[in-house]
Amino acid sequence: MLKEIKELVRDPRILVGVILVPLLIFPLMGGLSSIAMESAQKELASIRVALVDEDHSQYSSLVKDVLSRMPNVILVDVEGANWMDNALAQDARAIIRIPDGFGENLSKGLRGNVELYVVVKSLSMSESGVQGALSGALSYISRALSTVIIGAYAPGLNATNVLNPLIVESRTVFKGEVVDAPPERFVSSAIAQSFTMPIMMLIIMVLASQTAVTSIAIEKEEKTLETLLTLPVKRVTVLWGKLVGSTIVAALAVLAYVAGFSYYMAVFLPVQQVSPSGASLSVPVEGYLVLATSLFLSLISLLALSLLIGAYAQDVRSAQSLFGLIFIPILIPAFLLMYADVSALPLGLQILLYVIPFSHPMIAAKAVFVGDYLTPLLGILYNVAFTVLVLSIATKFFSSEKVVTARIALRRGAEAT
Amino acid sequence: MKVNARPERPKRKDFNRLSSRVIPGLMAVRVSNLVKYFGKKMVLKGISFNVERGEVFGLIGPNGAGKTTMLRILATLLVPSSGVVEVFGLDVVKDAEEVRRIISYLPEEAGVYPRLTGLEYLEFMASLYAKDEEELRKIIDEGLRIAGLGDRIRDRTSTYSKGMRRRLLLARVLMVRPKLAILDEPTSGLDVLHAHHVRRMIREYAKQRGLTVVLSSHNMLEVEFLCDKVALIHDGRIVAEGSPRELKEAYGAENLEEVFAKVARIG
Repeated sequence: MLKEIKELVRDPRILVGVILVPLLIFPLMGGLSSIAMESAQKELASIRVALVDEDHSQYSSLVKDVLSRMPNVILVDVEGANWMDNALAQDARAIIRIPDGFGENLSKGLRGNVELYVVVKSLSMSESGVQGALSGALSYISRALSTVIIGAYAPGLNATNVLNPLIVESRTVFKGEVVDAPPERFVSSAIAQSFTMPIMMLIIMVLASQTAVTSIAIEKEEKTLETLLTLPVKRVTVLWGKLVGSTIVAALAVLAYVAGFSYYMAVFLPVQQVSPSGASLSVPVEGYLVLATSLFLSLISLLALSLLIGAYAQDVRSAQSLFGLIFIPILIPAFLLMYADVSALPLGLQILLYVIPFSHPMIAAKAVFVGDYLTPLLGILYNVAFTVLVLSIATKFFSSEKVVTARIALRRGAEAT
Repeated sequence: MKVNARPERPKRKDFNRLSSRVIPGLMAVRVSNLVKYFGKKMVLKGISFNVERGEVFGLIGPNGAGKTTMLRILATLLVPSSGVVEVFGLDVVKDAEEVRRIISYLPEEAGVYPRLTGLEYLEFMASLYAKDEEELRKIIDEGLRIAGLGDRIRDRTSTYSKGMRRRLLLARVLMVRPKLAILDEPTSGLDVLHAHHVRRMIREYAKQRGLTVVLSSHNMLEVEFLCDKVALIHDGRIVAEGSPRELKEAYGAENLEEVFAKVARIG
């Protein structure tokens, strides 16, 4: 087993792919995206807006006044029949055209027309930022106009109250308790958790399975398998050595991943942590125990299955393509559960999820969160049965000559005699 | 072909006693009417032979004759389709685990773990056999002597030449003092010096320490030098068997190469 770990950790493929990449990818991703975000913000900090005022009323002047006082807007006046060309010549990102009759409509209590032209320069994220800023500016203008109109026609009314007549005090009811936190904040923290759990499990499973699926193929490729199988070591021990070795490498990978991810979160996304005050969102110890058991069982059966499938490959490359067979049943539950609860899915998908043994730790992660222990426990029972089945098949396979000759099924003529 | 009457197979619990005691009359290897299929293709077609204790037994024959399959069955990697194969009275199928404790197998294209050093490799292999620290040290020291790689033993095996890897593998096979060494083409592809070293070690362990060896080889000089007895396999059958001298006399040949050529033509 020590040999397994030494070999795996010293393998540059494992070291780079499983440990270094997750450690570096997040800081790198964070660094790059923050550079990109900074330049996008720079762009947002000064948007050149061209105003074509063909109305020349007190209301269109108000629009101009509000716009010119906005900190992120550089206002450019454009006139004449060639207003579009002029605006573009002045490098405007947006053109607001107020046609004749705008002020007249407003003073009659009607709605006034305004034309907005946005110059799309690139198809990047910063473009939507520009549009967001523009629609923010327009709604601000809208409110300013409403305030002026209300002030003019109903001097006794408080314009702010008329525009916002409701004061909403929102609270959340969770597990029968009223929690003094708005539901959107409460739910967003819950969603963050239920979103990240399946992803984390997906990553752990994929990494562990990848290591396992190639481990027999590596022995075949390096021609060490035959020797290994004639040593005075029980075949079951060989199997477990590989299972434990893959799990340890997976655990290292998870640590590297978590380290990289939390660095990314802390340095590049200093988002305010939402912790719903008073709500018992924390999972009790037994919850974690149930979760750990569920994940452990799934991992063992997954690794045994990966070893079995991988044993059919002649070399590492074909083992990696066989990995696709295992990847799909891990990916399906991870993606379904990231976006929906099991109960919200159509019956067919629900059955599919419960049948795939690797869904259960992901389902458990959500269930434990809301205090449901029956579902995870049933899942554990199902996984115990599945694990026993896979392990007994794997043990049988490892004790037979198939572990040496499995490839013969694909290419019988290649057997050396 | 002479086939000995089957000796009584020792019980499992007697095994440890057996491995340290010489039981008179017990054959090292007994193969009787062995048949092996791969799918529908019959690769071994009823092979029978015996190997005495302390004997060096050579399997020779053209490529594809079934030599490697024969050795892999002896090494418990493959299972016979029918027939009996016993190693020191233990059945290679029913008693596979016990057989693995007294054999040491060197596959033709064996590799070593490339990310371990030569020394770590020997230490790992020795740890599977040693009962205590003292025995472990003894096995490793013996392995170091057999490999004869000097300071290079502390380098990763990925930096070794083919000859050095083969010497390390031979050290692994012999240092654990097996009762039977199964060597598939022990010197194939090696230069003269490495091949000489490997042959010298095999001979030393066979002659001085009573090791039983079953080997396959394409090098007829090597076979004449090492083997007490030779079996010629052709198309899954043993077509001739005897000491190198007997075979040369029987076929009126100058050397084993001629015997081989005549037999192969007949086949």
